[in-house]
Amino acid sequence: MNFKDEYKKSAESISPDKEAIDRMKAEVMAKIKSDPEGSSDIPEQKKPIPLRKIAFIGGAAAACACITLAAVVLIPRLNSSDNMISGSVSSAASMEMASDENNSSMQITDLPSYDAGAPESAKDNSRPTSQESSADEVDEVAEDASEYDEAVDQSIDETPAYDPISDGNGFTGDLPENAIATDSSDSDDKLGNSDQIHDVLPTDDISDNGTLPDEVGDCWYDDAEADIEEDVPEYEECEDEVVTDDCESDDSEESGNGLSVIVYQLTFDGIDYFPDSSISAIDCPPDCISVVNTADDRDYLIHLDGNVLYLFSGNGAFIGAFTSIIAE
Amino acid sequence: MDTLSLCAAESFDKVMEFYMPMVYRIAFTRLANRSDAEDVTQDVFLRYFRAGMIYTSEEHRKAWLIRCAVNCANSAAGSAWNRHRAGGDLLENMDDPNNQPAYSDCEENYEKIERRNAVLNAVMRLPDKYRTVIHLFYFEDMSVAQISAATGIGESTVKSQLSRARKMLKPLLIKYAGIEGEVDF
Repeated sequence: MNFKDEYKKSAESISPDKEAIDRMKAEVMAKIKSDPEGSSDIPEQKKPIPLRKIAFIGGAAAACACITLAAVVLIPRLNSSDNMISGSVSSAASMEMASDENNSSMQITDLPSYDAGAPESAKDNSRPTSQESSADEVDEVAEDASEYDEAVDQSIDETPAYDPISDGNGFTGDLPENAIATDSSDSDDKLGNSDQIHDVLPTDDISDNGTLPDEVGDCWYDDAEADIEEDVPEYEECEDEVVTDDCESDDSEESGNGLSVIVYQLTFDGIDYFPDSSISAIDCPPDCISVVNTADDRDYLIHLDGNVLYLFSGNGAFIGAFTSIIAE
Repeated sequence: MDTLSLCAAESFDKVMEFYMPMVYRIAFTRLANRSDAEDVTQDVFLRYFRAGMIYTSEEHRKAWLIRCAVNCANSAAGSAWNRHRAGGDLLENMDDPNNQPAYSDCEENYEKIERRNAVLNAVMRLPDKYRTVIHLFYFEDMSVAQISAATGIGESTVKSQLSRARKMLKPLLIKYAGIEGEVDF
């Protein structure tokens, strides 16, 4: 079989007949007459759809939407989680403080005298007490301590972790023997030893030159000095290498109600300075004289401002303010 | 043939009458549908008229029309309608009495008619790109270079497509082979 001949004969049969040719010619001529230029009939080659641009723009829009959605959804969650974490941390801290309080109160309740005289609320170990409440309880104990001195002394000896001078948060108060100062506000406010340590200097009684008027009579300083001299034996005398002529004296004694009290007296260039809780470090930053306490080899910074002496530790931490009274 | 100005109505009518069957067959070979082939044919001659070209020879004109017919047929075959049309539509068109060759009522005997229908059906069962090459090579008597120039594909590609089309046609036409048992391409 000759494929070429057979295919030619068969393909000729698919040729359009005369009618089909005339019909097509008429339609072509009609199209040409209707639109000779062919602007509308023959469609111009369409530009391909810019799929890359569409994909790029769509992807960018989708990414922006995802980022925005994630930000909208996640930021509140993160904030809430931060609040939860901080809340849990604070609750953990409060629980720890409560446990410390419980421990300390348990140590106190071990004392028979405390059990006898303390209020019922102080016996409740399960109640979470704050720092101030513990201090109040200590004050109450101190007020009632006249009849339980021996027991409290024993408790202090047995429970070194409980220091009423500290913030009541488990600070053991391992102070050096020659500790120069302490937070006078704590000792003044919490211990109630106003008969020995004068909180605020009666400035009305002080003249401009720092001397007390005669009509004041026996000044509080004399009383304090007397109390200190009588009740508080000086531990040791220190030598300050740089400035101090005399030494500073810090003493620790047991108050009349059995609590440990530290009384400080600084002697600086012949002037005695006593703790003054009404003056803080904010009033005067340390900028000044370095003093070395050779007893414990600790550095201190002293700043004199009028009759007020500010004492700072070597790293600049405020220790206390001391007021001088120059008696005639 | 001298250069003709085909913008004249008479000349264009003559050109259509002479080349329209050729364009129609090319379109039908590619699309296997009469309606689509007629649309493509009209489109080709519209383009021909609006192009307003001046041809240096009749071969130039024929080559232009063939290439335009192939491109238009490919565009029509690649349209969404033809891509989503079922493949069986092609066979239906081939079995349609309207699509049957005009020689159905001729005086040739039944065997010849059956053989020619078998040859045409075998060509129509080839892949699209092979059908056009086969038609141009065997019916239009175009060389490989001319087919390459008309379709825009390389000569080697045309040769390989012809070879593969023959291999595909052989098993389809072995039934109608002669005494030698082979199909002479």
